[in-house]
Amino acid sequence: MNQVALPAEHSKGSVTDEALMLAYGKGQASAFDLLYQRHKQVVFRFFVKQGLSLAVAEELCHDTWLKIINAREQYQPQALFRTYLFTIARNTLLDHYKKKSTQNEVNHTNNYTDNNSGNEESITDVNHNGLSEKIATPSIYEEQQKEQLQIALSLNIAALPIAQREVFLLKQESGFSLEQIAQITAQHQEKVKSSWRYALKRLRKGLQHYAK
Amino acid sequence: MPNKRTDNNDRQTHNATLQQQNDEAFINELYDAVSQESQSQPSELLDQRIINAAHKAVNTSNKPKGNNKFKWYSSLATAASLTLVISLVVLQQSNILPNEQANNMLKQGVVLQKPMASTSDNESIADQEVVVEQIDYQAQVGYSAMPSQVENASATTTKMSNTIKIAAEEKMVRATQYEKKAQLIKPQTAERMMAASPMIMTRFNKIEQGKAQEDRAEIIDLSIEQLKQYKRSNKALDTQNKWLWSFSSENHIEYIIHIFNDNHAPLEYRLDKNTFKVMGLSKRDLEKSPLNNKSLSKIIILNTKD
Repeated sequence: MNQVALPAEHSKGSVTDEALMLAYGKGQASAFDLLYQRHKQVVFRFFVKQGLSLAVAEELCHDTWLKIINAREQYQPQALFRTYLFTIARNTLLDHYKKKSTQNEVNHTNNYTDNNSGNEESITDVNHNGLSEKIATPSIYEEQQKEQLQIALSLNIAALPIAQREVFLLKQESGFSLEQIAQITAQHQEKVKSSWRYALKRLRKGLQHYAK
Repeated sequence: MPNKRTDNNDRQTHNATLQQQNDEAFINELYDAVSQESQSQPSELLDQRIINAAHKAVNTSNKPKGNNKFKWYSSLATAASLTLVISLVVLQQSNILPNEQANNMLKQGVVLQKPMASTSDNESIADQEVVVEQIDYQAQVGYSAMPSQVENASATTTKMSNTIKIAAEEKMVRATQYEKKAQLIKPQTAERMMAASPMIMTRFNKIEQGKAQEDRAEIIDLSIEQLKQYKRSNKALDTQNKWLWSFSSENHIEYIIHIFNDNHAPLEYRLDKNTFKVMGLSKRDLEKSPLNNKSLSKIIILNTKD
């Protein structure tokens, strides 16, 4: 293994993603470790929130990082590494959809309900009713409420159309701007803006019972 | 009116923006309410798989020296192979196979017929000589090439019509014609040359004389006196024991003959055409002369001054 010493600020996290990727492209394996630690969760969540099962999400995650590994020597820092990473992640996801010829995978939260295939009203009702039926102490009640909220959120996100879902996840979960999302998805910025607006409206409608 | 429309549009846009901001705030609230700890993470097994793959990829590509050596050898091997192939191709092109050469000559034969047909007596005899040699060669090579061509054609065109076979036969016939023409033209050439061009004839004579001089050391010139002596001796001998002769060869200057009797080995003599004339030589005699012994009376003395 090529053990090239990383810069002093390496461990502090001040080295940019782009510099780390370039270092990895030159054979510095430890640079990848840091890069992976920084982004593994957002990439994984990007797949999980698509409504895919954990196994499929892990497989797609693996494929995405392998593509990054294999393309390490050709990497050119023309844009942010995160943009590059999520472009590859999105392409991997689209390839998966093409292979499966399906737009909705079984949600990993399927254990809680069988009604998770896009009927917004039923998702909301079931979650809300499930929550109200429970009898618990205040602390346990809060925990359960959070849990239920997360499930409802995941179900509603998974129920969004693909175009709206990917825009929503990239903005809300991964923190990209609309301009960056347009770059990742190779779409016009106005279309991305429109998808974002519709996704918000749809989610609000689905999750209105959770409004404080 | 346009101002009212603009105002309405602005109001709608403003409302939409407000609505969007509300929606965003609502979603953000929900997100804040969800515990960060419960957010899913990739499994440790996946982490390990990905990191191992990353390290393995770097380790594999960090052996460039071995790879470079291999690249160096492979490029050298490629260059050597290319050189070999090119040299083989050049060699093959320089040494055309006999069959291909024969085909080429046969093709040229058709073209060569035309100048022969149009050649008048005044045209260059040297050209005729070249044509004769070419036709002769075509006849020889054509015969050797024909059977293989016919075999190949019959093997590969069993399902095809007979046209190819007919074409091959035509070629065969053409080659035979060339040979016959060559045989007819060759003997006439020297005579035509004599008539046509003294300069060419002089050169031709020199070549022939040179050839004759090479043989002169071994062949004895037959003198008039010697021939007369042979003839006189023959008169005294019995019919069975008479001295006989056989024709060996001839050029435009002289005859070469063998004179022998039963008890002795044949003696080779040269007869100058200015002095002697050999009678009764036909084409058949030329071919079978060694077997047809003739009487010495067939040799006539032309010039008694020798």
